[in-house]
Order: sequence, then C-alpha cells, then structure tokens
Amino acid sequence: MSEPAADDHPAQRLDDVVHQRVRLGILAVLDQADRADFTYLRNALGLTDGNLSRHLSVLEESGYLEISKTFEGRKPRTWVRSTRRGKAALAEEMAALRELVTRYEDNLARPLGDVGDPA
Amino acid sequence: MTNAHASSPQDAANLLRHVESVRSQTRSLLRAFWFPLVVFGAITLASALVQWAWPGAAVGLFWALAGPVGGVTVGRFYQSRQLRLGLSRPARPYILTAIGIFVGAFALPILTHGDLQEVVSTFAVAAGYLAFAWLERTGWLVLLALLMAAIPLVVLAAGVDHPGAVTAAATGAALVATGVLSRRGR
Repeated sequence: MSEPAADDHPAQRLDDVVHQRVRLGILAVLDQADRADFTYLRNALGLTDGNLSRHLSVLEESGYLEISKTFEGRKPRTWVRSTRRGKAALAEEMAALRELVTRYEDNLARPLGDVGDPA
Repeated sequence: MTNAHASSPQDAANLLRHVESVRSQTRSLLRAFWFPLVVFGAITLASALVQWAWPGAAVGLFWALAGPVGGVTVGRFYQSRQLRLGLSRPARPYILTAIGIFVGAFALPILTHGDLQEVVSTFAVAAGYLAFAWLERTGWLVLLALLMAAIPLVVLAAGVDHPGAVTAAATGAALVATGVLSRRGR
C-alpha cells in the first residue's frame, strides 16, 4: 500500500492568508451576512480599529473581500462584503481543518503499533 | 498560498469552534422573523373577517392590497434593523419566496373548487414558510409550516361553515403566536 503523498496532508492546504483566528472570524461573519460594517466587525471580534484595518487590508489585497464606503448624512460608514473567492477560501480552510482533526482522531482510535500517518 | 507550517489538531479544533461560534452568533443576530410573522398574522386575521363577511372574491382583492403593504412594512423593518446593527443579509431569496407564496396563493384557488378552493391557498403559504425555515435555519418555522398545512385539512374534515374564514383565523392566530413566542424565546 503506498504512503499518502506529503501534498495530500491537510496542513499543506491551509491558506496563510486566512489561517488566522481574526481573519477566519471576519470571513465567518461575512459567510452568514451579505455585508457587515466596520463597527460591527470590530465589536464582534473584540479588535481595535487599527488591528481590524490591517486584517481587512490583507484580505482585500488577496481578493477575498470588497470594501465600500457609504455616507449616512455626513457620517461615513465602511461596509465589508466577502467575494466569491473569499467564500471559497473559507470553505477550503474549514475542510482542511476538519480533515486535520479527523485524521488526528482516527489515529487516536487506531490500536497501538498501527499508527502510520500522524496528523 | 499554502501553509508550510503544520497546524496542530488542537489549533485546528479551536479554529473550527471559533468559526462555528461566530457563524452562529451572526445568524442569531440576523434572525428577526418574529416581525413578519406578527405583521402577516395580523393581516391574515383581518382577511378572516373579510372572508366571513364577504365570501367570494373580496378576499383576493384584500390580499392584493394588504399583501404588498405588509411586504413593504417588513422590508422597511429589516432595512432599518440592518443599518442599526451594521449587518445585513441578502434580501433576494426572501423576496423570491414571498413572490412564490403570493403567486401560489392566487393560482391554487383557480385550479380547485368547492370548500377546498376556500382553504387551498394556505398550502402555498405553508410551502413558502418551509422555504423561509430553510433560509433562517430555524425549527420554529418548520413547525409553523406543518401546522399551517394541517389547519385546512382539519377544517375540511370537521366540515365547518365558512372553512376559508376559519382557516384564515386559525392560521393568523398561529402566525401571531409563533412570532410572539419566538421573540420571547430569543
């Protein structure tokens, strides 16, 4: 029986851009909502303005988010929306994370001496 | 863009829990179906009076006027809520479902006759609420849809006078009660 290739390991499929608690949180909010504003994201994820801005910039540069500004009277409001690419990145990341956990649990369930591919 | 560093299974499990918790919190905040249930419940109760007082085509005219008014009221409620929360969800699936209910509720009576004709629209509404239940991911609306589908069957089996009015009264009451209970249960 051939050993699984290293590339098949789910850890190899984790995306550096989204493999991070805050960025996954942002994409998770936008996976359920059509769009969210800056203030909502900041409060929901417990971040500072600067911290959230940095994470949003990274995700926007990767094409995972679209950021737009609207005005309510004179007050500007920043809205964030996940792109199709962003939604796909979240789905792929979740699949890879689930597979990592499943592999680990499968290995734990195997009898001793039968452990071939530690997660 | 692949990660060269292996992530530990514990980290992966923590991240999965975090994402699920954020998703669930967002879904819960976006959920405000109590308002359309109360609005359309009240309209349905009013339609029962119309159907009882003026059996026949009057109820169709009533819904042709009250339905869009209810829809606009609900739309404005969601719009102002979304601006207040800073969180919005796509309106299109809800609008399409509402249009489907409207079309079904008007079309089904044309295809039937007798007592069934008076109550058959409720099945279209019940089917629409199943779609809403899926969109909202909530068991409340599944129960409501099943109850709505059962009401006309019970009314027809009981052979009561004014089956359309009785069905509308029971359905309206069920809508308002579910709206109030789901709001309290939040």
